[in-house]
Amino acid sequence: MKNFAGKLLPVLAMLLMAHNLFAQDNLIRGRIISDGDGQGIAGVNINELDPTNRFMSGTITDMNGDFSLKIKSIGDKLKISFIGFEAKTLPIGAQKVFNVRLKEKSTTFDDIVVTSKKTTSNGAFDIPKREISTAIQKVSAKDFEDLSIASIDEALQGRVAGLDIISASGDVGSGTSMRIRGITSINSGSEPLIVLNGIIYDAPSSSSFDFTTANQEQFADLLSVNVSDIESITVLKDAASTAQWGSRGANGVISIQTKRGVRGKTKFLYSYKNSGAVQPKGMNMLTGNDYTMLMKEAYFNPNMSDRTSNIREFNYDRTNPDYENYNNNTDWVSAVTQYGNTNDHFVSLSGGGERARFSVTGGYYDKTGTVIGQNLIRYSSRVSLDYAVSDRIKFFTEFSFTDNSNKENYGGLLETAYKIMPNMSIYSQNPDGTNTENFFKMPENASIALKDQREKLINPVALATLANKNVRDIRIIPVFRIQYDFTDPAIQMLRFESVVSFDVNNKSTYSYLPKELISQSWSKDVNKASTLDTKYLYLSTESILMWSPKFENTDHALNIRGSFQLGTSTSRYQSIETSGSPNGITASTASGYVSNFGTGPSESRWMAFLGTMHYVFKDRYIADFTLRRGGSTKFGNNRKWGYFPGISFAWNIADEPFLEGSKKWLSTLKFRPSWGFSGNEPKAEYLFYSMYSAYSNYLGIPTIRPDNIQMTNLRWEKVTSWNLGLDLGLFDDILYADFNFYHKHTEDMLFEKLSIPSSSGYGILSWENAGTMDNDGWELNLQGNKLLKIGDFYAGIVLNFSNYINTIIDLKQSILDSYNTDYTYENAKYMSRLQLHNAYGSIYGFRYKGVYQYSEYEPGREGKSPFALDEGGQIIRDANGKPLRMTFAAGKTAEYKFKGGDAIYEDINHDGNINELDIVYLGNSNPLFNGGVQFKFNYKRLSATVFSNYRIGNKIVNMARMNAENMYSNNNQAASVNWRWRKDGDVTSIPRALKESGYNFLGSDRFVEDGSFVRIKNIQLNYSFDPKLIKQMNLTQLSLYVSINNPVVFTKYSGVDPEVNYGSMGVSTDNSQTPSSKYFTVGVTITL
Amino acid sequence: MTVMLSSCTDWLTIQPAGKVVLDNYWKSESDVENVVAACYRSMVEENYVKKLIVYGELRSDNVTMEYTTNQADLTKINEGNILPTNPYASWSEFYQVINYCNIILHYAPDAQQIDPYFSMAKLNAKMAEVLAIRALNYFYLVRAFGQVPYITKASLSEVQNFEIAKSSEDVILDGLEADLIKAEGWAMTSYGNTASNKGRITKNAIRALLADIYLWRNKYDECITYCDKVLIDNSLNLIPADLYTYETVFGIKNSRESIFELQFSATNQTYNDAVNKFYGTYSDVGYLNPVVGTVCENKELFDVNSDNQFTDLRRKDYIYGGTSNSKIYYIFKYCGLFRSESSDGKIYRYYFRDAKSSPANWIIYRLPDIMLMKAEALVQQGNFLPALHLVNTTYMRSHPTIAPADTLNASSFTTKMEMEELVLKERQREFLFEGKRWFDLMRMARRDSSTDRLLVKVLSKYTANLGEIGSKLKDMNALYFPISESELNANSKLVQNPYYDKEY
Repeated sequence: MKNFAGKLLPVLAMLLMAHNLFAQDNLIRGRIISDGDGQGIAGVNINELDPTNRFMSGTITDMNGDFSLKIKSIGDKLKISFIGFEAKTLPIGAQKVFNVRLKEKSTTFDDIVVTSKKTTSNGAFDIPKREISTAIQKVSAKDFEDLSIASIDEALQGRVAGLDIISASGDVGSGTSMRIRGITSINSGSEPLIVLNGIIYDAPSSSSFDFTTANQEQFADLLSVNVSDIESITVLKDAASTAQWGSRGANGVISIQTKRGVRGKTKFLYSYKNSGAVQPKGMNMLTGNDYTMLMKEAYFNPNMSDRTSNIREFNYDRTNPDYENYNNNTDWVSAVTQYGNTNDHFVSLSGGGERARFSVTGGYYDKTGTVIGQNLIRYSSRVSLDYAVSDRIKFFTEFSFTDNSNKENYGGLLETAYKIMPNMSIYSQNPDGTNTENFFKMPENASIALKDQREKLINPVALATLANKNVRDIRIIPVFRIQYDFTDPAIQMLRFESVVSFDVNNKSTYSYLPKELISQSWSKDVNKASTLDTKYLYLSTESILMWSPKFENTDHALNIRGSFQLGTSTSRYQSIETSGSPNGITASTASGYVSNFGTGPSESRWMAFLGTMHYVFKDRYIADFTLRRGGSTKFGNNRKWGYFPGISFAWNIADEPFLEGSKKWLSTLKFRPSWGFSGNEPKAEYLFYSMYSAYSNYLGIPTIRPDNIQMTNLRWEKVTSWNLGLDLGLFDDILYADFNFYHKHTEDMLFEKLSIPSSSGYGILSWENAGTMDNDGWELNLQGNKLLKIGDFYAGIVLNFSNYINTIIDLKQSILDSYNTDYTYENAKYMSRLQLHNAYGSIYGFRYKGVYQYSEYEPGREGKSPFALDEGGQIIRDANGKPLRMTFAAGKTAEYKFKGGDAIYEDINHDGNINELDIVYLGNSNPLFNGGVQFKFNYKRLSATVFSNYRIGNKIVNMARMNAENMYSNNNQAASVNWRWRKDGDVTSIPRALKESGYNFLGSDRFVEDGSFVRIKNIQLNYSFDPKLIKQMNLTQLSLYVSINNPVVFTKYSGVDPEVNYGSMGVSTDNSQTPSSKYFTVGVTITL
Repeated sequence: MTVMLSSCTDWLTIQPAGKVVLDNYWKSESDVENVVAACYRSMVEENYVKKLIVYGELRSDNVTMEYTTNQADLTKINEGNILPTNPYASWSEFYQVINYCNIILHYAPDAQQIDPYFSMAKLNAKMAEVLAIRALNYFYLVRAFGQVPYITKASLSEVQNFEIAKSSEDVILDGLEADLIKAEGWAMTSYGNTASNKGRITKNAIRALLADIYLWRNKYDECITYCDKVLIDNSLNLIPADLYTYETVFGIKNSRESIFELQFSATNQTYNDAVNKFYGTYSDVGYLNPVVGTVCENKELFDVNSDNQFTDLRRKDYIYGGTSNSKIYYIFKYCGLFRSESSDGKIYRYYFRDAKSSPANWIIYRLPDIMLMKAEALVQQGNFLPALHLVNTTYMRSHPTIAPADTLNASSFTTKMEMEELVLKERQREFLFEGKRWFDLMRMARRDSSTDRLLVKVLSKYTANLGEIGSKLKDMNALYFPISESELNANSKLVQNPYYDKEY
């Protein structure tokens, strides 16, 4: 206070004088000179600021350093600033002439140790990392900025303990499935909530129509955020941290922060990345010659009849006019794969002064797939402008724009390539065997036995060339924020903030399938064109009041935040499908049969009151409280509102006085218990209404019918979770570990499309609360930054592990019944079971024991011929003393007597009958643990990072191999079937070929494989040039980098890619989706 | 605060656009009318009509699978190998209609209270329509499945119990009879236009249904009473051969002999794809073909003249194809528009309908059915002569070229067995492919309490696996369908139908 008065008094005195002497004139003038050389400085900013630092008037100095300025009030201050000089602020008062010397900023620092508190947002407050009491993990963009990746899910894979990400496929623009801490819900979606700069970044509501799959939507969502724009990503894992997102937070939250302008010289950055990708080698398939030989056998074996195997297309029959088209050895897989190329350009311009900061970025991303016909082009741009009107009032604006054009394949090319007949040619061939320019399609008069090939498999090369499927997605997100401080934030903060954000998303899908591709006569399915347009608008507002009171006693610190949020989203879709249009007309607007037409609006709203409190006592004891009261349009009147509380504590044990002695080595020891409650809501709207909708006409009378059963009791899915966390830092946090142990309890689990007796008139209940599930798990994150230091060489390691066990506690009996259907005695089917107190994703089937070597029994052929053995391994004989032949499904319609060359299934109960009683547990698709490891090396200006992710102990059903080894249909098979059983006595593990007969590929452990893998996800090498060296080129930064992605996968899995998404019932099933490609990237970043 | 919260709750209340919520519905006569129309509309769904064909026709000796068709589910039914997983074992389409009916019966009286122009008589007429539609659907279910859950309460909210056990056939049919007798009094005789008179439930449709139910239950007196109520109505007449019976009844549709037929129309985009797919169209072969031996070339069924030509018009009208060297025949009924014939009746040409511009209707009841139901009842009562007269009425219509003296002669049909077989045969000829044959055979087997006669007829259509199919059909219970597995799983009160409850 004394100091303050000392400053104030002369000012007051001057003020009075000025008033007396120059009251009629408030023009001031002066000269600004450099302290160093005494010369005037041109271009110096002279600004008049009011006591809250609001800009009142201003000018700049001329060539000589002189200025004159008409001021608004002599009570204001004068701020004099210039780049490279230290700014000065002077009171104006009565002074008229300001001759000021500016000191040049010193540019060299000797050994300055900066100790700043690094703050992290816990979703509500920016607080020092040591004050965090919840289970959250932050990933900095630095970790992935050298990679050429389209979306952040790819960047996050393996980096966050407890976040399990599996890509759906390697197709360009295909999605991923993300799970934070396991699945909380069997049927209502377990994808985490994405929050971008504090605003929910939502997928368009899909209540009224089905886009494709939810995963792909989420992907599209993430695809519209350019990875280069990202500053950091924070993953909120426990319910105490996600409670603030209430009903949306149950699956965890991924919060993305984008880069903003920073104060300083205007910075221009350009980066370019080029990637080349190839697809990993898949299964070896049969050549045309091997295939035809197999097919002849497969058709002969079931009935031992030459007549059935006499199929013209396999006969190399020269009298067949299509002979040339069926005598080839086409490698369809290589015909549909290619070298994929990605170009990724990014420019950014950012900077700002005291008042305004800005950042403008633009990106162009162009990727061609490793499967032909796929191309993704994205233009993205993001502008942010922060402007401080005064120290008290600030504006923040953001504007982002993304235009995604994704050219997709009309159907699964790779899937078809693995199935289509390899003796068939790609192009129609002339009688001399040369290709014409027309694609070959199997003519309608082909053998009836090949009907499935003719109708279901479209020449994939032709499909990629002639058919279209284009998805265009334009998304604009403007955000406006205003902030007002009632008090000087330096003393005590009382701040009001208001945010308004929009999200405009227009998406259209257009596809066309021309007649040339379909081998059937003119019908309504020919020349099929369809368009789907969706428009989506999301508007949200938030009003926030924040208070950080100043306590006399500095032992206490408190932050309180209250907010009111409101969101509304509206969407409308329109779809039209026409067919039978004349050739050449490819738009669905042309008149043809309108085979499908739909349009529908949808709307939803939500609202929430949110209070959070962060309290710190003696810097060591931290408590956080969150309470959200959220309301949604998705529930009926008595169920609209829900309370979502969260409590967490942290105790920085290392700071306790009694541990003062160990401070040298124990830098952090923190215990964090937390408890919280969050929810999940159904995706659909209006469920609690009984609705009537228009049908069509009968006898000219318009018809209206009841749509649904009214869901009067539908309520939030509730997720309660406990988290016990421990942070440990050694030697100034060079070695840092955080460990979390959690228990997550989901009640009123939401189920979609629940079967109910159809005698009710409806087959399903759209959504219902119907069960309870637990997830227990732990996560460990280890960081050793600069663990090793030898001269200029540093090495560090970051690794994480996580694991969880998922248990179904309670489920409506009818759900269990509808999931646990009776065994159907069909090939390729695994028993799936949903059992209480068991994990989701278990696989049940037979044990495969190889192939019967002989058809008939002779002594010594026990186990090698299909005759039943007792427990002692002795042959079982019937009443007549004849050996008992092994039978499948005895007494059922599917009954089958095994013969030589058939698969051996273990007869667990030794009754000579292979049936459901011989089915055993074969494993589970949930990994034992999964995570990632990152090694970092630095040597001077060269840095290298090796990053790998892994999943251990999960089982995969290799359906791709099953389809390629079953020898049951006309589909092409893997080269391994060349080892098949052909005649009595053959010793092999591959059964005989049986076209649509036998039971050689029942769900058994033959196709259940260990999906454990360790993938070297990427190796990055970065060199940044010495700033001194490049200063001559007027650059501030120049770096070059190379990265190799996915070079090696260590796995026992026999399929192409062990990363297989969870399918139905939580079982991972490999359906030969496009594998993740191997690619390398070279890039350059230039900063001016 | 409370005011604010309640206004927040208001803000959180939105109603679907493009749909009406219950609170705003059931306010007027037209609200009722529109849902009644939805009952009919859902009966012209492809899957609904498919099931009428599968339940009433597929298992009979009239049809078999077209061999090029890859319809495993149908093939299995045709071979008597019906698994509870077969999608045709699902009864959902019928219960959907039944539930619409239940909802109307629940709410229509409310609408009548509100709408001043909605008189009690009008309400009753609607209730009659709905009761009859519900009864018709239950009657199909009873014939296809035996016992089914008898639900007369509307499914409104998820708090209700939807797991309802089966009721016995008698309980259900007693209920239906009571409903229909009540409905007969309330129902309309005419709606003022032909299409509606044939396409909606009328008094005659209710009587036909009642007669059918009575016949199924062997209540011959009641059956005859209700047949007679229809037969005395002069608005219904048989279409004689010189007025082109086939073209009038099936081609042009809604003929004077029709009582109730499901209306398909191109403007409503209801194309009767069930018929198009099962019986074929001009361009596509259907899934089903007539059986060569028992139908197409059956000289006992369809009379043959000295030129070795069929004289029964119905053989020519209902079936086409087959040449001296090809024995492939196709169904023409419903797919065809009309047939032209040379003067000697030897050469005929077939003209097909365009399924997209003039789809076929599906006939549930027409006058000959009433005549032959009555004949069947009369035979059971030992009243042979009037029965023979009725059979002759339909028989002669299709034999315009033969002299009256050549009609079916009473002296040839003296025993009850002979008469029964005659009526059965005439019904087969007349209602070929109309979804009646299997139920006719079932009625016979139920009266015999044995499937012996049924077996002889049905087995004659198979060429392979006769023993296996025969042993399956030995069991009376095998005449019914199994309850679909998904239904059993969703409803713990349900028990699988006998025969299917053991290992299959």
